[in-house]
Amino acid sequence: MKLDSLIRTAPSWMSGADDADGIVLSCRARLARNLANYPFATRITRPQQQQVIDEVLAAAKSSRSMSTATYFGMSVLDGDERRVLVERHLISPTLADEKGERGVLFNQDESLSVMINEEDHLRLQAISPGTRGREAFTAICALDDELLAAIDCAHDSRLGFLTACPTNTGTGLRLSVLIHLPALVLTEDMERVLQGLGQLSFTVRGMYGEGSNAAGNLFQISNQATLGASEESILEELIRITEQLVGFEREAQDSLRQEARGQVEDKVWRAFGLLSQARILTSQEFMNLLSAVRLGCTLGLVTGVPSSFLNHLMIATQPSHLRADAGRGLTPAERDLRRAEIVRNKLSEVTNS
Amino acid sequence: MICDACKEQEATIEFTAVVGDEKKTMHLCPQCSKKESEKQAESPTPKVKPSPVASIKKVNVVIGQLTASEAQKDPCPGCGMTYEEFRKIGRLGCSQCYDAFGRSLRRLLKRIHGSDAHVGRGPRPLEDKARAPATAPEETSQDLEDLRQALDAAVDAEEYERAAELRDRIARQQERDVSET
Repeated sequence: MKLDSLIRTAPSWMSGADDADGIVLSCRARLARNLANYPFATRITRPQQQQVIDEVLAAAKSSRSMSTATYFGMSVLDGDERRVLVERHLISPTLADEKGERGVLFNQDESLSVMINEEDHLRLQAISPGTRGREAFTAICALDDELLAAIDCAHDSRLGFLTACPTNTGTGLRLSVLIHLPALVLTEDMERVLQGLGQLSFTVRGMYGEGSNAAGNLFQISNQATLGASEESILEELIRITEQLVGFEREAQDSLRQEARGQVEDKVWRAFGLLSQARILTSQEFMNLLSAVRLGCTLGLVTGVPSSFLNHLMIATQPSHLRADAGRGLTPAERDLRRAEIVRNKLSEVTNS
Repeated sequence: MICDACKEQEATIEFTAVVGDEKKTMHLCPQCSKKESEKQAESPTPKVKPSPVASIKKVNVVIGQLTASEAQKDPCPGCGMTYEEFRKIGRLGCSQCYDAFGRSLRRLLKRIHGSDAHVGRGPRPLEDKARAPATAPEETSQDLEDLRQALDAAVDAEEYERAAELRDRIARQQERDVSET
């Protein structure tokens, strides 16, 4: 498989750096851009798509941040390999599944990537670990500047950057944080928090974006509006909201500690026991148990299990990663067996060291 | 022309009332038209449909353009997409669609984002605009497009007095633009 070296490592944004509480896992910045002289995705021809790819790759080659990046055209990857990239957040399901000339360019530590010919000609992405949202934002602005110096971009002095979907017009910026809120879910306060976020025009989704469930109490919070507010103010707003959510989560954790200490400890250690001993783990069960163990780490009940370890497990036990690791196709039942085996082995490594 | 209702103020608004199968036209001043609109809003089955066609020539022209652009019949010259098609698939065909579907699209953007004007980064470092002459009066510093949008908004809100004022400013601005070139 072409992605062999990729699947053995965790992306840098899963390193757990700056994630002292184990609450904010990562921050992501995305910019939507289009080339001025080509129709958008719904109207573009295949030869034009190829020209877009050529132009972007040439621009990337002469840039500082992406000159040594890896490029994969979707046509050289099979379905499973594309899924691996989806599971690593390097590409969207749209890029993986749609026909036409499409591809992705990403740097060594997977902190920066560019999808070419997705819904927009360019989708730039920067991810950073923990609460370092500003780092991702700075990185993406630098990449944007470098690429746009070499590319004629679809832009309007009044409306800003022109995108295929009017929901992205203006800045084209979507900023998001991946946040673990188990105590708010346990204390049933999440509903109220979600309502509050809606009023602030921030949306909440599951980890894999639109339409995905919040498995394992992981939520993705992102800005809705892209027009009328500057990039900087969107960033500040998201940082402010994230701090607030972390505060709410801490409060909920405190009240759990005070009012239900026994039950919480039991939940955490049962989860730990199951992860260490189970022979079959569905991905749903795994995510829920992992969330409980992560809560145990945040509460200081479980020690010696860094959040980078939990993050890596999360990536490594997804279906296409399991398949790639096995080197062959797996039935769902085989996958659940294999998931349990990997979790068991890795957990015994970390607890025995 | 004097207002049909109060017989005092000058009529600037043309109301088209449909009573049964009959169409009735009234000429009203801004105040009376507002009252009439409120009456309409209160009655469960509105019999009189206010139509914002002012008696002054230029308002007719501007508002005529407005209603014409509402229909968005013309496809985008860049890619051939129609507004109808865009509404179906939710994606624009090319960057020229933004011009082709101008007003309708801007209204949509406003609904989505709460704004229709970009603030923030541009494709390259912005030119230094600080050196533009600071002596220009407030009116000229506002571009035509802003004024047209304000007019849109005023018509939407049925603030005909303001609409008339904006129309005059647009006319003055256009004259200035012509004399400058």
